[in-house]
Amino acid sequence: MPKHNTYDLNGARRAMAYETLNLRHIGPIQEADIRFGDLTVLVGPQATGKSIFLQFLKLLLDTGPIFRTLRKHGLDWSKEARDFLEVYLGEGTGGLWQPSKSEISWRGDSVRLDELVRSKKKGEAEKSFFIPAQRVLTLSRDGWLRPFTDYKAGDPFTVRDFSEKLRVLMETGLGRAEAVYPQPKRLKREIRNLLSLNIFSNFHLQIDRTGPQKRLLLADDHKTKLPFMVWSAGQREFVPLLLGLYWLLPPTKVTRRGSIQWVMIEELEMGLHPKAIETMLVMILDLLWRGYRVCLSTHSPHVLDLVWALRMLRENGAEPKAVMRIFDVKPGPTTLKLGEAALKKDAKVYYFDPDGKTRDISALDPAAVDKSEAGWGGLTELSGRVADVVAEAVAARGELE
Amino acid sequence: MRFREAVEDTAAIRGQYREGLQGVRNVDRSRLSCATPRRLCGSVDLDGALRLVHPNDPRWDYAIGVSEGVQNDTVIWVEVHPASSCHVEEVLRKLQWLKDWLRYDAPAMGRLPRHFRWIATGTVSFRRGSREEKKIAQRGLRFPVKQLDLDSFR
Repeated sequence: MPKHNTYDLNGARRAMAYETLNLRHIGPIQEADIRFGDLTVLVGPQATGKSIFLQFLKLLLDTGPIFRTLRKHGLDWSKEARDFLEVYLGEGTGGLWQPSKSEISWRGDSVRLDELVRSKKKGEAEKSFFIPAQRVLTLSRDGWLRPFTDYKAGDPFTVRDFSEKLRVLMETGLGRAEAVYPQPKRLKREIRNLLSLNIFSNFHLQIDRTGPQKRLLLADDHKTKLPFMVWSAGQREFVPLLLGLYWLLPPTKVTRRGSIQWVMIEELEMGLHPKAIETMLVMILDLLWRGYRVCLSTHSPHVLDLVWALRMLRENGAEPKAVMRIFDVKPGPTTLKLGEAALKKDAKVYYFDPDGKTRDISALDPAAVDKSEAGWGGLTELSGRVADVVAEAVAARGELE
Repeated sequence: MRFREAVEDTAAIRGQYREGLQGVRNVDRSRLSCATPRRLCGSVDLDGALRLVHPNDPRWDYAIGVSEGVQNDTVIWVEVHPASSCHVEEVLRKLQWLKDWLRYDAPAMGRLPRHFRWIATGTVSFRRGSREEKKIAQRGLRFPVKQLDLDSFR
């Protein structure tokens, strides 16, 4: 297996094996060949297989824990690959798997899905945490976390599992405090400031225990209390994301949670204003600094702005404070650590083409001949075309100015 | 009007017309591609031609003529220049110089349909959709490319 250089948090070079996942003929995916970086970003139009890909990654990392959770809740898949996918990916997805054509290769080794789903794996510790795109569904209309069993058998495992993990988080440690946000020992001060400014508008996220059912409320200093149903779309999307990040960032001096090494986040920008996306990106830098390997799928050019900027800053020998200037954050000892780590991380970007193949567009060269790279997988294509049309109209004008 | 006529009609560059892409310096010719060379109707090394007359001006690099059949020929005005964001103002100054030159010194060339293009030498350090791209678009210039496809002008 090929080796490449990367860095640990102290900046020391270390050689590590490439992490690769190759999928063939699974649903819309014909040929997906991904080599993961410390940060891996998947882009591409809807229904090109990004989410399927991330869920397969989760399956390969956490086969045992997934089987254990499914069995604990009485779910069975008759030891058939298609039946298993109906349970794992969700109802109607069994047909994505074509027994005679579909293939998986993980870290260079072929994996037989039919054999995998028959295996008795269960003992391993969980290695990844998956924040699904449907995260808003994890909160009930009353504003409380739904348990695993609250979902239908055909709902995707990643949604049910995420929801259950947040519920347990709220029923135990985190839920005992009055304010869920802000909490002094959770998140870096600079990140809390950005969240208050860009997402919560100085509201606090609190647990209301006055009724028979606990619920989350947004409250301000003037005793205004807003239940879940009147939150803005962005706040509804963001709260499960915040709780997911709390799950990953323990309030101790330990930088990572237990055995978790990988974090997958689907469409982190969902429902968020660009200022809020900016804040999320700082949180992603925090995850990277903590040594998590992060995989994102996104439709936001801002995410690629960051990847591109880090590449350009690294290539031009920029200082860590330049990273924080991207976010208009004053450089301090904490934020400089994030910037320093970010400049040492390896980022990969892949385009999921509607033709079913993936393309490595990590260079993100806006002048590349390859249109999918120049247009950043379609994310800057419209803005580019708008500018082209305007430029032509101005140039063609009879009178020169 | 034909590209060649317009060149000969312009005192400052009379006699500078070259067939095909011969007006483009060798080092820059590889940055241009053209699968249908018969559509090319000549080129002029503007920068070289005007160096003596306008030694300190921010001169534009090339004019390349493309045939549109029976209609007027089209001129692709090409500048080969580094393309980091700090070069945007420099290239816009050159573009303004070119527009002024066309207006006051080369009206025959200025009457031909035109496109302004920037070929990047090295890395482009601003992105599509950026403030810089909007700024140059407002002045009629498209996002820099590494390779200019002359067949795309149809």
